Amino acid sequence: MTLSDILYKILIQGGSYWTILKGLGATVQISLFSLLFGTILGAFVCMLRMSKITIFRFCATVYIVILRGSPVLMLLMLMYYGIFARSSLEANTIAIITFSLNVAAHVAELLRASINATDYGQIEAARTLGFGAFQAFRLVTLPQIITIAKPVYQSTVVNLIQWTSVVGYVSITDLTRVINNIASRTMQPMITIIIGMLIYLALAYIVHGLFALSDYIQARKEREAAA
Amino acid sequence: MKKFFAALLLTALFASSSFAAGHKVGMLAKLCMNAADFASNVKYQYFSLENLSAPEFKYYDSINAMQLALSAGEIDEIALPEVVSNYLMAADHDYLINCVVIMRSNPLAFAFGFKSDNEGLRDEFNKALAEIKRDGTLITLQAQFLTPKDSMMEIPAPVHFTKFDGARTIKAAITGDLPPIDFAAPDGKPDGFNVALLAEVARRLKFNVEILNIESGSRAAALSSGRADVVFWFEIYRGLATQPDVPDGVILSEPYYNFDTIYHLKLAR
Repeated sequence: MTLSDILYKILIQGGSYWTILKGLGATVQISLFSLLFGTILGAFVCMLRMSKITIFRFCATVYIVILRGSPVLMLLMLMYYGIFARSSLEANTIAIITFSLNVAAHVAELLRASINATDYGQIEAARTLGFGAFQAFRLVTLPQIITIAKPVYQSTVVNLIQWTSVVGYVSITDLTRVINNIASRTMQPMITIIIGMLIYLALAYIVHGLFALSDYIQARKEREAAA
Repeated sequence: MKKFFAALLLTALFASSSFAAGHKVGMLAKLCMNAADFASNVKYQYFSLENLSAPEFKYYDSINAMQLALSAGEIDEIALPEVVSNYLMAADHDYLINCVVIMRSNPLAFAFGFKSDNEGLRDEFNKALAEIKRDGTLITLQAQFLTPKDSMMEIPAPVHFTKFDGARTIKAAITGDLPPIDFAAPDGKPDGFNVALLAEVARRLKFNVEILNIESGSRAAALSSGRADVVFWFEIYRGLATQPDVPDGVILSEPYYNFDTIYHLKLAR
């Protein structure tokens, strides 16, 4: 078989491209929802982690240590084949729960580091000038947290997309699983894996592009405000 | 300190060179879970003009992993059942037969696996399998799916599952990585000899099938957790009372496909 035959077999024959797109859809769906819920939960865990109450701080620390220190595949297997084995929850939902829990631990630490990097004196100054506690946070601390956290958050998003490649272990046909299935059927692992890698790379660059776009918009807004 | 590192380096070099010596054959972990069991249960005679010594086996999770190891030079040959070898050689003409192993003493077979407390379902499967063998359907399915193809450019025939309204649903876990026995068709649907056989069993026993496509590494977990009611393909040694490769808590159906020939394939350099 020539290279074009092989590529035809991998990408086109029998609507293979559609199966790849469906796999990509599963990967994007799990990543997006996990990111959304993980970020919200992460902010909550961060709040507990920075709380003045010892028990809250302790619980949040334990959560972060366990979730950040254990492989997400093990957690996923434990959730799907253990904790939720008898439940009627779909595999996709269990995967989103698992990845949200994992991302939350990373986001919590990332937010804490960002908050610690801001100057508390600024809050005190804002409060002295008559800002309320929430107002001071929203107008003074939050913009700085976002600027500091953004680059790390971007790599968390890309990491999350890559972590989702293990969902094949819990019966979800994501992009990696589709690529593996095609490699098995065509018996052309090298070319198929390279194609899979290129798709993941494209996803990472889309994420990169979105963050760059938001940076650009923010910079333009700042320029307009200054003018 | 320098001497210590020099000694360490020498030891590492010696270790890697001693590992590199000998003839290495890649084998699917499923084909035989561990070397000790394999050696004690199978008289594996290695016929090759090039190499008369017993090969060293290395185990892989998937055929793709073995293929990559072979092209990287990590192993010299890969061992696969005859039908799978034929499929691989038709898909990629760079693969050649280096030797043929006929397992006379303990031939191999495929069987369905069930959780040990699910004897009822196992017995139903056995009954259906016996019928399928008796009326010649098994031979037809073998001819349809396992006959070597001339061209790999044709799209494999799809497998249809009959729907039974109000009937129970049996969950079956498949891996999709052993063509032409078990694979995913271009449209993502499960296909192959095993899947067709499962569809036939389901049609006769009048149940619906929900297919779980999972990594081979999580098949045992799928069965023990109750996520799957039936798992295929379990490779067994025909004629052995205790099966070395079958995990605890798993019971097997009667074998439905027997094979005694394994090809060792190498890459044309």
